Amino acid sequence: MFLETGCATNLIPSSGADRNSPMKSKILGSALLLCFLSACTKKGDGPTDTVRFRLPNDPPTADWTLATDNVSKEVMANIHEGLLTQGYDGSAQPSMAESWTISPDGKTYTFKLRAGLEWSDGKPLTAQHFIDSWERVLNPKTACEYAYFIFDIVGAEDYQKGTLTDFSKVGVKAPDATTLIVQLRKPVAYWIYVPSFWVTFPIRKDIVEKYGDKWTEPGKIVSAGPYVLKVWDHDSKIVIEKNDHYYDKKALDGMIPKVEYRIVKDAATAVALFQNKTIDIVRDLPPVQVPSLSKLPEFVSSPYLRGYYYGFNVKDDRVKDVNVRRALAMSINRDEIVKVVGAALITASKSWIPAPLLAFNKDRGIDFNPEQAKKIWAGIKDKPKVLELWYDQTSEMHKLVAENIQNHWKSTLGIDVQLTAQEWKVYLKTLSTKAPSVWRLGWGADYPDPDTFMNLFVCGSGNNHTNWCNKDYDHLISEAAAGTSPADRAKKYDQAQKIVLEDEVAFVPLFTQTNMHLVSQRIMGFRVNPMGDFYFKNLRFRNDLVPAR
Amino acid sequence: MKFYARGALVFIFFLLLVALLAPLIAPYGYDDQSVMTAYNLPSWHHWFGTDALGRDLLSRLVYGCRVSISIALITAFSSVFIGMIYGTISGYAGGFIDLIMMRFVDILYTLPTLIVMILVMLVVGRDVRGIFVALTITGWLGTARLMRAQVKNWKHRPFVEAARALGLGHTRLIFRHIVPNCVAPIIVELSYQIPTNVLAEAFLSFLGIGVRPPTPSWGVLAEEGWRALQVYPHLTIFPGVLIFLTMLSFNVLGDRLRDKLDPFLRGR
Repeated sequence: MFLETGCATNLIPSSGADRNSPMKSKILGSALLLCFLSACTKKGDGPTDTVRFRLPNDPPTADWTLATDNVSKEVMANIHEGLLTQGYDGSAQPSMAESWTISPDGKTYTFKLRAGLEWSDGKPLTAQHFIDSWERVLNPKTACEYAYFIFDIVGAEDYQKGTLTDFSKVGVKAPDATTLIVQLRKPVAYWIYVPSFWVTFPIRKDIVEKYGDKWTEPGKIVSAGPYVLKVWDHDSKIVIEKNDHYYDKKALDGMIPKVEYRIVKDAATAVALFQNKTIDIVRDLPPVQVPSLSKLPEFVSSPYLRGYYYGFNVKDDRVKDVNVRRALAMSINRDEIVKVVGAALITASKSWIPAPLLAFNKDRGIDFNPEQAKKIWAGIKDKPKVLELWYDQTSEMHKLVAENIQNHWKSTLGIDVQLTAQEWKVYLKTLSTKAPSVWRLGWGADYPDPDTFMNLFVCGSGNNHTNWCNKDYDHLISEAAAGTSPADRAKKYDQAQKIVLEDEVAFVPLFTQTNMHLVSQRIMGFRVNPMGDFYFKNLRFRNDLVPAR
Repeated sequence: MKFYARGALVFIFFLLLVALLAPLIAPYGYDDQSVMTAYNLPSWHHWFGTDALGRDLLSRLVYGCRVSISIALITAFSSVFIGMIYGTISGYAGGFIDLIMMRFVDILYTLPTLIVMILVMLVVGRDVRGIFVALTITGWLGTARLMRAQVKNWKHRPFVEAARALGLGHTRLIFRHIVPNCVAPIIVELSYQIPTNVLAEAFLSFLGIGVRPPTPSWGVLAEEGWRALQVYPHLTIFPGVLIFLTMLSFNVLGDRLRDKLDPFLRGR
């Protein structure tokens, strides 16, 4: 359930954070851009043993128990793996577990690990390492934000809340080195996707205990993925190299030996670096350049399970009246937003669960209806005169969307909207401590199931900044998660969507996004799944294009 | 030089006129969005083209002129005013008071201007008022030093001593005999402060900490255009050229004023 670019919390004492402020990067960025515009030198296609990938921020952490954001994921997903992995269609595929069985009642999962699994330091990897990891996730002292991810395991929630202190009573057992049995408290339709998520990856307790907070630094970290972390120059670059202990020897053979992550904050600068052949893969392209970039042979566009929404802080006096929220929602013209941002990047959507997930219903949600909005607005006794609308500075798109909505709210309802932009880290902190009346966020699927979008707004969800809490909604979500028949689940999610989007208007979905990359022609095998994941181990250099060194 | 100065003066008057009559001159409102005309190149309907939201760039530049020029003028005048008072007190009082006051200025000088501006804006707020306070707080130091030096220079001149001997009070001495003689360099200082503030406002807005959208200022417009530089260069070029010409005009005018007002340079 990761947030958009950047990090959700200050997980690492990042001494370099200030050094790389957006301003500084902007100044550097413009200087760089000018350099490239004025004096592009002809170069080769780049080193033949390294693929270079742009990261928009320094990852907050490489600790897979603590990470919550998709910048950290870019690194973690390539240095480590879990029991399962997600295929290109989003389905669960074997990874460290070669097979698994689910009991007929849907409550017991038995995973059979591959023989001969090894950590990057050569030590054997056993089922106990998974248990160690899950204990760490649930241990209240760890303060893992994703702990709720495995709450469906028997006793897990109690252990995390401290009411159960004996971890052996939690429903995860390792009868031998290659078997892991997981006991759930109720059947959960999407649980098969959970073991492919990073918080469930195994961990080396001895390493964590030995190095403490510093265990994720290069030279100390021990992982078991196709690559291993070698260099981490904070705010500059990260290098990962082939891990010879990786279980999939076939993948190891053709793999590109090195991956270099370059931290380039500004998207336009990243594109310039790509055109200068200094970076091989760029994600998060600048919207204004997309129409021209999309004509390039290097442009790769793929479907993305990611929604973009405007949330209300329903406890805020100005928007606590549901009719105020309804009128505001009715004054948003999504078609215009699509035109402003670009149809190649986004697709208008008033409903929250995106296509093609179960329970997708394009008719749910509130339509653009300025006349009706004016009527509702006229009927509100204590209407606000001024509203605060906040967004973050991770993309220029956020400002465009905010200015368009500001304009419509002013012209339709006559309300003055003050826009405030904040830096990503500060912004997330603001949302979780004192959310403004209206704010924007995006949400990417962690697994291809509507639950990943819907459980975001249950009471007590760490990522529900609306302060909205509705028992009926929670009940429907819980029932839908446990449901076995897809039709029944879809019905429940649909009812839940009606409550949150139409009856209560806790937030307003605006559009879904498309995933876009620029990928150098010297690389082949680049494919992205709907969660936005791709794996460097599957990339190859095109032999005919590799220049002689 | 004369020719350039006249040109500069004409341009400055033109800008002031545009700023004053913005609503009459601008063909559209600064926030009139029309998605259908987004990113139009310069045309008959939109002389300077349109931006991402289909807003007319000429209108935004005209209104932006109002914001940028008024910020620059008001902050220049207020910081020069503060600097004059501070410098006069320090220079006239002399001794220990002078020492303390000037060390304070020295300390403020050592602080990086940009960081002070950002801090001030965090406290005062991110809007026109915030920029105004931030630029004033960081802008008066130079004038204070200049004024102090001037006052120190004039206060022991024989005519001042004579006035003092006749029993004139401090207030009269300062306002009748000292300050009027210090005004010339201060006017020159003012003419340099204005373009500095135009640039400072543009710089702050370019970094995204200036005026709030949708209010346009030249810095905001340059910032919005910068990201589209490769695709729609007109969005950056127009505000860039305007900032450049404004700074140039004020500097040329300042040079001319210095030549005219400085008795040692007069007649060259």
